[in-house]
Amino acid sequence: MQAILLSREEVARRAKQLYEDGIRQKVETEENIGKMVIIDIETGDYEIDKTGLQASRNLSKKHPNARLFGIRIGYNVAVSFGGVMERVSK
Amino acid sequence: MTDRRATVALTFLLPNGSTVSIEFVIDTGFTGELCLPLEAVSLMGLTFRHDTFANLADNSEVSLPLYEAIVLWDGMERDVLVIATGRRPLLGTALLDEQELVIQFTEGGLVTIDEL
Repeated sequence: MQAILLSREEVARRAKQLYEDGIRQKVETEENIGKMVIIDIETGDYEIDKTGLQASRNLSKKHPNARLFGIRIGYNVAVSFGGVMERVSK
Repeated sequence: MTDRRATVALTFLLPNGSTVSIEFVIDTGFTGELCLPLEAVSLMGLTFRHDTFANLADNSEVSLPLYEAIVLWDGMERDVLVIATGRRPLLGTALLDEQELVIQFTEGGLVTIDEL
């Protein structure tokens, strides 16, 4: 897989899959709800912080051309524009 | 206040050493920090960080790119994430966390943001 060639939609799809296939079980704890997990969709590496900014910087340092995707832990989306951002996990 | 919009100007410290001031509409329906048109983000030379999901007012979900920027906030440098989308610069509630927003809803009215 050449992650650098993937479309934004494909990056999102793969990140979602990695999240559901294992990352979710490890990170979805009460203290992490609402934080951002940033996922490197090529290596499966991930990091968590409040906004995702530092996590992204750290992962980019490890792999300079990494394709990164952010998921807000426990929520349907990371951000909303007049729409709905709701908690989907208990 | 201009044309029923509450606005605030933010100064960006750009990677090339220059500064630029941009007027943002305060959007309390937007839960992120800032958004700017992609063309502006490209011209400003901001660094791409990651993509993420957003929910729009019509309940559709889209994947959008986030870029890193430095703005002056209350005289201090602050790292922010800028979503590259749309035509109008928006300032969302994530930047208003723990602040008090006061809007005089009349043409030319004052918009003030203070720390709580």
